[in-house]
Amino acid sequence: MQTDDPAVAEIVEFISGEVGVDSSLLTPETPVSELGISSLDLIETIFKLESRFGIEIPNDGPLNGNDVTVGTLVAHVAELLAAQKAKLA
Amino acid sequence: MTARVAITGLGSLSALGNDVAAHLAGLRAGTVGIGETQGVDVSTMKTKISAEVRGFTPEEHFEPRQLGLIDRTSQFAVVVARQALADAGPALEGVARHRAGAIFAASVGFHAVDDSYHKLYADKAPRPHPFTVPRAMPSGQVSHITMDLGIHGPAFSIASACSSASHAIGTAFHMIRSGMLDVAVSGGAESQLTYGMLKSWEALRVLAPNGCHPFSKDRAGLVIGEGGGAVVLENMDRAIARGATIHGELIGFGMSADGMDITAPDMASAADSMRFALEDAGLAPEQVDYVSAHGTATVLNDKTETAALRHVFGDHLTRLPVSSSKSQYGHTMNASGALDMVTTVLALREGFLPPTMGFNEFDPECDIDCVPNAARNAPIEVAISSSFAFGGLNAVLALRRYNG
Repeated sequence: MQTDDPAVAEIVEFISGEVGVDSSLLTPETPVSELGISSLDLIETIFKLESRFGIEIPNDGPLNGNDVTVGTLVAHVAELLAAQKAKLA
Repeated sequence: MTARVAITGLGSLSALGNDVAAHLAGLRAGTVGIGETQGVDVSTMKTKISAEVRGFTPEEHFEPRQLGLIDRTSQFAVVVARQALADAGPALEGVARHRAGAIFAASVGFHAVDDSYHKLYADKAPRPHPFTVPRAMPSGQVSHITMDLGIHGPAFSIASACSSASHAIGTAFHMIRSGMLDVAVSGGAESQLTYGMLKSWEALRVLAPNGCHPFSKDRAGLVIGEGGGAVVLENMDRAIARGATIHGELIGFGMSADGMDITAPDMASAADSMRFALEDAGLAPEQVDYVSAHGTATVLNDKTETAALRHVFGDHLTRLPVSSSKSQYGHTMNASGALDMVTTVLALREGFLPPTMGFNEFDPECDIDCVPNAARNAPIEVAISSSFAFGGLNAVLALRRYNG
């Protein structure tokens, strides 16, 4: 997934490492299920993202479904990170 | 030669009430036992609801000396087993020691684990409560039942997550049908309503925030419940000979394993377990009048279960009521198969269909008659009760109304 935003790049890199998929394959339109990430894997990845970035990803947000794309996942985490930074600033 | 198996005793404890009479009244009235959790501090949790057993005073049932040794889960198990045996009358009288058994769900004593580990890790206590081990062990409930009721034959616990109690009852059924036992007390209890387990379920992202809505388009997950259910199963000839009140007949048991995924259910395998139960009972699909569904109210379970029902029952499904009592007493985990069995026996005996409460909106992926929001009278003769557990372990019981 190409990006100029270092925060987004860091998220993509982390997800790539966690799920064992080369970051070049992580395009925004790709459903995570097509990367071999089951709904259970996604729950664990969300948990690891929470721990890594010190954020809380709500249960009732955009990641609560069976058709989550890489773009939705990354954008949601980036949004929560930005909100957290704004709160701390 | 196989024996017929009578159900001669019932016991229950759940968010619907603390005995079978309250359970029956709750089913008929469409009572929803789900509410704000009182027994656990849920202030740090998103999900604040559960289906708790209320008004249960352990001191009314146990001596102070016993209480330190019995986890809440085992307390429920002993109380429902006592109820079932009291209901069955002198079922154990004159039975050889090796021909009366107790088969129950295997449930960890989570309250013991939670309390003791909290003291160790958070309070830095030098040692946990000395009875943490006997309170926590998953066979605790069946051991306490054998001590309490005086059962000395085959007794053990079965673990298959949310199918545990159904596998236990089905196994007891096999043991009587094959002639090995004359009488068995069977069922299951569980309370996972601890801080640690509620947080763990929340982390798995399967809990509904606002309520339990099985088969409804707006369903959003399960609601944790606690409780216990028990039955006395007995050789039919013996039950008739001693003039027992027979609540119903257990006529079939089907099992299957998905062999697929540790949480997601598999349609074909769920269908297999229902089909095997019918085959075991010698039933054609058209003979079934009611299904007590697993119906957890997760998006995935309910649509998979509907597809499995369609697969087994075909066009008959349009005339076959299917309801989920989890909408009333929550998902009681290892107890759920036993409570659903009690529910199904009552439905057959009393001639009514327990409702699916909390139904708001039709979902084309759950196109069944789920008996929405109110019980209905119906003279039903045959029913099945389904349990489809995490890890793909399925158990389905087939029952028939007893007409004398």
